[in-house]
Amino acid sequence: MKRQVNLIIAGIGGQGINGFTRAVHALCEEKGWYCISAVYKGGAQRLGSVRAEMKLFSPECADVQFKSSQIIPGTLDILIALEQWESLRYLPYCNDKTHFVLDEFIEFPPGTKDRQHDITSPLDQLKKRKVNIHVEAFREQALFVDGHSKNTLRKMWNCAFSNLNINELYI
Amino acid sequence: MDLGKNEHEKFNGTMSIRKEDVWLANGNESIAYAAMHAGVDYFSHYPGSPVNGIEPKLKQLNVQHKCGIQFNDALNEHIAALGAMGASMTGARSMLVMKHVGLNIAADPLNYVGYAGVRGGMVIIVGTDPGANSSTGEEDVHWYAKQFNLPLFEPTSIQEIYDTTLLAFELSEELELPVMLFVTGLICHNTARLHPRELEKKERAFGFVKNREKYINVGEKAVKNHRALLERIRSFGETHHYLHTQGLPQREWAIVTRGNSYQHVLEAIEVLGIEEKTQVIQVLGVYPIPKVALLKELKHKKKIIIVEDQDGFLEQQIKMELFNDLDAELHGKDWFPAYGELNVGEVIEILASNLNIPYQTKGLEPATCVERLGTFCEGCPHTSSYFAIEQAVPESRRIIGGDIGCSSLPPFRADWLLCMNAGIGMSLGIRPFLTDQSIVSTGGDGSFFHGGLLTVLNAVQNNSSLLHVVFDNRSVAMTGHQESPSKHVDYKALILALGVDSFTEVSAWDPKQIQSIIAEKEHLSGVHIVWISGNCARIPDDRSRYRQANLYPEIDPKKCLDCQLCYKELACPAIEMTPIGSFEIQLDRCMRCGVCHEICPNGAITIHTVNHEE
Repeated sequence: MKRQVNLIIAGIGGQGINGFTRAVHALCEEKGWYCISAVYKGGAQRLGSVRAEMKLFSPECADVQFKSSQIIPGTLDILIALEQWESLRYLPYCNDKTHFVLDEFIEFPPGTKDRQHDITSPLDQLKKRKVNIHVEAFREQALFVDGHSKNTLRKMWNCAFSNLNINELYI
Repeated sequence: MDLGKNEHEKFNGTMSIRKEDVWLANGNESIAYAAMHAGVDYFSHYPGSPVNGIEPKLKQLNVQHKCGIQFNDALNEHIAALGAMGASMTGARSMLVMKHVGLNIAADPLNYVGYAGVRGGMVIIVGTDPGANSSTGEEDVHWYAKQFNLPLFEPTSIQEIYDTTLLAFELSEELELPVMLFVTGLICHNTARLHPRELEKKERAFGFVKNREKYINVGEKAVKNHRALLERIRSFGETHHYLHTQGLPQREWAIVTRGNSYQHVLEAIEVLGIEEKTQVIQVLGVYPIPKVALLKELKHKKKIIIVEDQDGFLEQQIKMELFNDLDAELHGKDWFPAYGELNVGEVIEILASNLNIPYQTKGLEPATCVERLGTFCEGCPHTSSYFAIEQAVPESRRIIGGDIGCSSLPPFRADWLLCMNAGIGMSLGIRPFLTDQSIVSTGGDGSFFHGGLLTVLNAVQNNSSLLHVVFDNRSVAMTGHQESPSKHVDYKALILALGVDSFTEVSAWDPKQIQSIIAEKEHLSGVHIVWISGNCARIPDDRSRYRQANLYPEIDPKKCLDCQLCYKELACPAIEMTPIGSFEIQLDRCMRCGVCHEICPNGAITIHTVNHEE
């Protein structure tokens, strides 16, 4: 069966999104899936908004060379957010069936409290929209089990694909 | 004449490409692979996003495959351009890389390289940034192609970047002109499959062949060479056919596009269901446009839509070159914005709205999100330096000139951020007109050696007054930690030799000392340089490594009087407010720089020593 999965990994600089995206891109290709990925980051080494857009095509899809690397608004299947505020930034890409996989981590931009609007918590804003949200302390679990946070994204990725019942893309 | 040996022959001996090879590459890597496979002999660049990944990849390949490439890690784009031109005059293949704003700096020599011509292929890679995602502006540099009269190509995928880079070297040698390739941030940071080409081994001879008729361009000779260049470019435009079409030629509508926008358009016409009506034409050779080939596709069309980022360079070229030959309704910048980066959603919506096709996005309503502006990393030496400057001069009379680089990441701490060396350069003009205000210009070590050094000399020469702070983090940190000259240059002797009134070096980890120096110098006339040294937190030195292994800070809530100096003014990202309003240092993020301990007025932050036996 032809299958296309549109996915965004959102977070902030320093969380390893760039490296992880490259690694899973290679793994998906090894499993026979065609993949287009693009990382969006600013000039900062750390703490700025970072996102990776990935389009994954099952081996039966043949026309992927005609696809943009960008995801069309409203067509996102999975949003993985390593930082909760960052999940809100990409709502126009999501629809009411999108699976949100969120870590509990929240990073309020340091030193900017006086500049920010009066805003409610990211999770509260998401809950109002009645979307499928899975929140877990992925980073804390990774730290506890492995002694470092490198496996956070792997845990979130597997959680997302378990929600979609695509076991062949488990890593 | 003794012609040198072609070093790049070694590449063919250590690596072979098979027909079935498929690699995974991003845009930067794709260019680096193509450079190696084209046998580039000389690589000259000034680092800048989004093309800052080419140089490290090519250096890695150079070592791995013993390619013998000469590297010129230039101090600015002007020097980089001249180096590449020189190499190509000897018959060597050269690659010149910079970002779009760097092209302004390199424009002086590139205006005339077409008059002189090149012998070895010269390919100029420019990273453009519509949307200003990693730049201080989104200027459209396509106009330079017309000004320089150099061929310009704009590939649209990872494979096309690779293929076009190889083609550009061949064309450059055929036309005896440098060939430019523009790549956007989106393409540079895309990853996809790459099928490398099997290449034939070619031998080239090197040596400088005198040709004063072409290389000395003054008066009549300049006009003659200019005329020859214009004729060559016109002829190339009439004969080349670097465009790709999708869809049958008899379709009534044509969407003409270039670069990123091509794949957005292909996806958009599928979503809108107009594939049967529309032929899509991707112009790869953007300047000069493939006049004859394009006219053949467009002449019977009823509607022509030009989809491109930025100013509408392609649209203007089509109107200039083909207007009298077309009998179609033509749209471009009357539909699409000339600012920001076009995305696939925007292309779909604009086409739908103007072509009266019903389209409704299923996207959720946007939410209010925090504004995530630039910030310093944990343990960044600039955190301490900026804090000290702000403490030394009260905000009511403080003016800070900002400069490109990490030091200006928090955008509201400096008072302007425009271009390289704008901090120091504009201070020269502002200072004479100040009465009760103080001005401190700032910039990193990369900017200082890019052009700041000359500005200091300029200030001395003109008896100007200047208080300039150099943040030396021992690397060009923002663009990938390229090596800074400050690691091996005796900068103190260099700056004193310029005739400055004072040079003071201070550690970035001593904010009180920085504060006292700035407070002392801010009122002085003359040229004063304050050099603040401290390694980038991403490249820790021995001090930093020792502190990370052996020390940790802690805030004592009993002593903390809630002044928030560490949280708001220093704004170190490792210091967080707890739900009950107290403050904590996140030890998994803290780099142990110790600055919070230094600045706490209440002695509430203690540095403890790790007990390794516990």
